[in-house]
Amino acid sequence: MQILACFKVVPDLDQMPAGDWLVDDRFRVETGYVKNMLNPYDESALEITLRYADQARRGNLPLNLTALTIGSKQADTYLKTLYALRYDKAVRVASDRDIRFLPEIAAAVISEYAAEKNRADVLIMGMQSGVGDNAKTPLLTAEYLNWPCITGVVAIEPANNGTKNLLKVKSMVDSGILEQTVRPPLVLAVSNAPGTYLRVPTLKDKVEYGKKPVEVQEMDNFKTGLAAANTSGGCRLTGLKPINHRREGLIIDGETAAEKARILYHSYLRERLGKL
Amino acid sequence: MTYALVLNGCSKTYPDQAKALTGFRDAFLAGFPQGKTIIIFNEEEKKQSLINASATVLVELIKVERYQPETVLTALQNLEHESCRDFYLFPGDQAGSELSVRFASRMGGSSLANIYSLEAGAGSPVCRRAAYNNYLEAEFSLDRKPYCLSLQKGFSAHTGKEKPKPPEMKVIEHNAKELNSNKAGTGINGTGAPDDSFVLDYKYTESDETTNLESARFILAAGRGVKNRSGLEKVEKTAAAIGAEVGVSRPVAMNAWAPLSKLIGVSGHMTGPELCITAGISGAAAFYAGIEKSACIAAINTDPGAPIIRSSDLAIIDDYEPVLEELERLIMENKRIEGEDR
Repeated sequence: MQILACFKVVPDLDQMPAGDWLVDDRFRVETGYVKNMLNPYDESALEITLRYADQARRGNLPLNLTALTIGSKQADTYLKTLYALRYDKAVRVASDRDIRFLPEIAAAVISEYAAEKNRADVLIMGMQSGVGDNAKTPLLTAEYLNWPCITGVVAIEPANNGTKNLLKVKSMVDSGILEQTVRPPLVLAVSNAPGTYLRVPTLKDKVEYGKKPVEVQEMDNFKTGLAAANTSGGCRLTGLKPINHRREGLIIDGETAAEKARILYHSYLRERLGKL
Repeated sequence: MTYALVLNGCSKTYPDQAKALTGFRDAFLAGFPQGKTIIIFNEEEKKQSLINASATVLVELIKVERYQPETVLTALQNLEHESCRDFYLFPGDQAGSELSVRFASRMGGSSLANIYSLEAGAGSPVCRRAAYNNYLEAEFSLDRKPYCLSLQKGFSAHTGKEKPKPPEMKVIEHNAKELNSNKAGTGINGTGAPDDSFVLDYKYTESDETTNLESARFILAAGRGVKNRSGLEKVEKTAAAIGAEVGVSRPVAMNAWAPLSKLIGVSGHMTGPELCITAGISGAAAFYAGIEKSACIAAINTDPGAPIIRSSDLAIIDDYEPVLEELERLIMENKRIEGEDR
């Protein structure tokens, strides 16, 4: 099974001070001074893939894992960690283009890589990422490849002992879990998948596997990506501004926690609770 | 300009979908000629109630064996390819968001997911939605018809000018099998789109977790500050005693200290209680979106710089545990006194 897991490195936006949400005339926001992180949905996708790999290796099933990201050199640290976690190949499509609101480009590059360079059976990635919040990339990738897509994925495992290259996919649907045996190729989109924080590599694996060079591909070499760049998917960003979440924020003072609770209750909550 | 509302009648959330799409239609497409409603459904006995919830005179039903996105997409494509509408509106859940993007891609249109406003006049339509994890609002101009839009999760509109129910409805019934029998879906490159044959078997298990978060009038929300599962269990006990519904932020759900059904925020429940008390929650914007319709927010957090403090009406800077203990004691005492008075 050839699995291509795609991820994005994003700024930890929850660390941005409230007053620093400044948007310039090209709708850019300076986020470079906050630490970056794996997009949480992508992090789950990477870990779900590793859990599949654990099972596939135990069953001696053929397996090849590739991790792919689009972006700048800052992603290389994460790619090397993925090598240490036993991903076979770590690829970065180098680009400094502003594709925050152009998921069509990301989807075109991923689908071209999957079809022509990687021959992937399964593509897995997060459903959306903060910054653009487009919620389109896995869906468009499936459409560009003419592959089916399963959203809300929380786990994958080999099916039928892996003999027929089949997958068992668990996904959250409505208010339950859908478990399907499926035949690749297909695209899997991950959203909230509890308990799927990315594992930490051992020091031994870091030394043994984590030093392989990251494969860098230039985005200009992706012809479909460039063609897609000439369109905007029919949507043009025409404005970007901070959302005001501010309320009164009245701080209740007191000598002790219990005293503060009493003031809160007697002065503000009792009457309100009485009306419920 | 013409429009179609696309509803998933296979889902338990159908009434909420219908209400949200009707509200959006009334708020932003009120001047448009009467549109139509397309309802995907799988249970014959529910058909009439699904039709009754429709907001348009014309209703087109598509019967499916089960809700399977590839089947539904191809059926929609085959139904609409000859008389494509200008706007297609989809619900704000995972299925609606998926359909809007993939359907637009196949129809050569433009899509936006999670929108909460629309200006549709003579020029290009303009839509707004959140970006940057809900810290910013992004505005987009749409250039290609059909415009396929899914609503923000939990969208509700109270325009006060709801249209009266149509006097007589016109219902046309289709079957996905028949719609798709002669024509496969067409992918973006003109080649055949996938059907559901990649699924060899399936099993659906209904969750036994129930929650009333979206209709709750009093919520006690817990965050990373509860530290572990036993910390959350204490909060749950307090909530049960004081009559509050428990909700959690994403770190609590992701650590599996609470089921996903308790998650509040853009990827969970969008709530609107009379009172929301948050305990140990920093107040990331993606969480706050899920409680911002609260009439009153009281935050308890040790960090005076936490975003939730600025986004609350009332705040206590302290450990949440002794504050909740005292609140529980006071509320219980008040309940006892009220009980004696009766």
